[in-house]
Amino acid sequence: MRLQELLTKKREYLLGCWEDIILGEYQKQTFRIFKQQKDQFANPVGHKIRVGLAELYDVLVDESDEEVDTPALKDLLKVRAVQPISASAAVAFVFDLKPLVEDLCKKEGMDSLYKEFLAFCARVDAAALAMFDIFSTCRHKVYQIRLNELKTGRHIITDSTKCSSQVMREDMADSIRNRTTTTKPNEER
Amino acid sequence: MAIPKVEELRHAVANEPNLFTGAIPKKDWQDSFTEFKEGNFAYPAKPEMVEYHKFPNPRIWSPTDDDWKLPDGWEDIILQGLKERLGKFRSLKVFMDICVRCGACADKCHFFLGTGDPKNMPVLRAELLRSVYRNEFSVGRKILSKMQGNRPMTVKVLKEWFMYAYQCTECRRCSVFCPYGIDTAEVTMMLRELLHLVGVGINWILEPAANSNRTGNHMGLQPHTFKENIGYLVDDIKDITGVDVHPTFNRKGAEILFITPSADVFAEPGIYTAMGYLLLFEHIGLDYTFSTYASEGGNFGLFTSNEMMKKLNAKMYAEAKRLGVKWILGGECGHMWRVLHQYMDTMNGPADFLEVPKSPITGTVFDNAKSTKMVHISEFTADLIKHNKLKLDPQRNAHRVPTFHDSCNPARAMGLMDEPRYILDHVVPKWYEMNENCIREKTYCCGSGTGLNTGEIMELRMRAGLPRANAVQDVNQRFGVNCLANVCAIDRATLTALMEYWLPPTGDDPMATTDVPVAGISELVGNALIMDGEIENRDQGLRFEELVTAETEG
Repeated sequence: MRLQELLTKKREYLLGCWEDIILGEYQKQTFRIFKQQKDQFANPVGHKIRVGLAELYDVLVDESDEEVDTPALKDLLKVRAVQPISASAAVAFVFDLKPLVEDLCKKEGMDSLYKEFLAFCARVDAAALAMFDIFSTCRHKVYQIRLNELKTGRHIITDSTKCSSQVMREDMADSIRNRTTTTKPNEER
Repeated sequence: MAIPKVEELRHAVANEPNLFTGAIPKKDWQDSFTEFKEGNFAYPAKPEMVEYHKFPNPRIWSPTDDDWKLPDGWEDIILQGLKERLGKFRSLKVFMDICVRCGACADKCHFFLGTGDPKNMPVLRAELLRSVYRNEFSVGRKILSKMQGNRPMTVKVLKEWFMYAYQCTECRRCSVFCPYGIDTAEVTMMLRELLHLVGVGINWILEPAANSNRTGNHMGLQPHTFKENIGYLVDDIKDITGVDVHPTFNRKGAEILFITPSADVFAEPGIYTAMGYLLLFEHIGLDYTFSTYASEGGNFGLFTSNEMMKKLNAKMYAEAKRLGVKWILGGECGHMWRVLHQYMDTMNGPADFLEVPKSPITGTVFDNAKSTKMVHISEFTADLIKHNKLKLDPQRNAHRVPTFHDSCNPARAMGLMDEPRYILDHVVPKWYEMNENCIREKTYCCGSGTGLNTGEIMELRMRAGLPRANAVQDVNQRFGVNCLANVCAIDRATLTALMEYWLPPTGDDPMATTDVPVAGISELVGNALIMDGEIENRDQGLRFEELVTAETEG
């Protein structure tokens, strides 16, 4: 059996293990809820992790598929991009699949698929780079949204600020202060 | 520096302090520490804001400092404050005593669902206060103290309170699921009050509250600016529809005082909602006035202390009295309506000097507002539609396929659920509901309410808003929903950011920032109104967008 066939056959098993690893980042109370609750509306993070991983898995397993930037994976990375984790940690979960697949090969007595495994690993590495690009786009988006809030005036509601008349008053006070400081040397002369 | 191995990175993610909570601890919750880092807290209040409110301990401080410069004897100040509030508010005492930790609320909070942090489970957030309450005030507190999880008041506990009292939007979704009806929002309110006693608060609540106190609205805008801005909207309405609308300001003897969040007058997309109000009132010839003193529906006192809430609420009634109006009509606001329906009567009511609201157009008497004398714009508009008093062309909103987001406070605190839907039925050709677990009394919060709508915690807002955004994504994908309608000013501001992140633009329009723009219900009403004297073949919407006519559609 080729590696691709094995990975297709063991899809559910591997996805379950992979999901456990990523959910393992949360505390046990959270893990339980995020793992067990299957309703996407009651558990959006768990849902996005689940479908995002499945979509990525299918891309990695299907050698003819080159498109990593799929909608569900993008959503999963969006979740990661607003979590308080480093950029590298946000995408590192893709590498967790390698040892899972390696262990599976050993368990199935299919060590002979070494070359195919290496090729699979290369796909994982390539996917990691693509995922980092997606992650960066998400971060860029967050900054863009903050700018948009400024441009539309929504920052007035979302960020504490001053009214225009106060800004004008402060500007006037500043210019008076500047005038005073610039005239001082003249006075001394 | 050596490149870390993946396993090391993963370990770091799972076990080391992180930006959001300070840690994802594997230890018992009581043994974990809260670590503040830039991005996981809203900025503390400036000393001048604390002084303005005559709150104690104004100073420059940062949550990232070890020493928060708390006043001497701060533990006693907090405990005394708690004792006073337990005596004053029966509800607090009950909420402290009756929780049986059944866990029904645990997975209902959008902050928990978005962050995965167990201390955001409502039961555990409340436990942060309960553990201290039990230690100090409960009967038999000395027995099995540790086993019960009782804790003395320490700096560690105080820091935890600050972290999690400001990761709750007081949306009250958890209360819907609590078999005892515990209102966790009130627990959060008490936590925030207690923190203010020792000078621990955030600027983006105290500054708008100060502005509101001084000039009548959150932005600190003075009367002429308020009036001028509405003037710009009047000009835009003229350009789009050809109709002159005639708002008045501070007019004594008007029948109705209209109060809306000031955000509707100043910022996109709220201004389009305000244009909707102006068109509607002109359409029916309403005898109303704006006030430049009560120029804010929002009440950031609700997020500060009960005294502040009472004070800011009172100004609306003081102004109604001064102007001699019969009753008050309220715009699309969120927490204004919670204050109105749940607290106003106890604090400042009953408003005996006003009349029971009666629609001058339909004659409907709003008995539900018999005591507060204040009617929601959606109730008012739905009644007008019911009596065929509006000339509407839903096709003018044909370019929109809305879904309706129930704003937490109107939905859960005043039961306003059917009126906006009834209006939608009449002003747009079609609209779709989100999943039933995400609407009506089970609606998800925008993730940025109660003064958490500030830019420095944008990522936190995106996390907390995910449950709402996820439901919108679903109807966007299934039905092509391209408009998120709602009746709250904070929603209009914050859901826009949320949609920009979770539903970015996929079309060709270079100006679009999202596939699902946010709109107030009244904007949709205003856009659909056929006004007397309007220009023929009006081809622009209130956002100057091109309307889809039968020809362009064909």
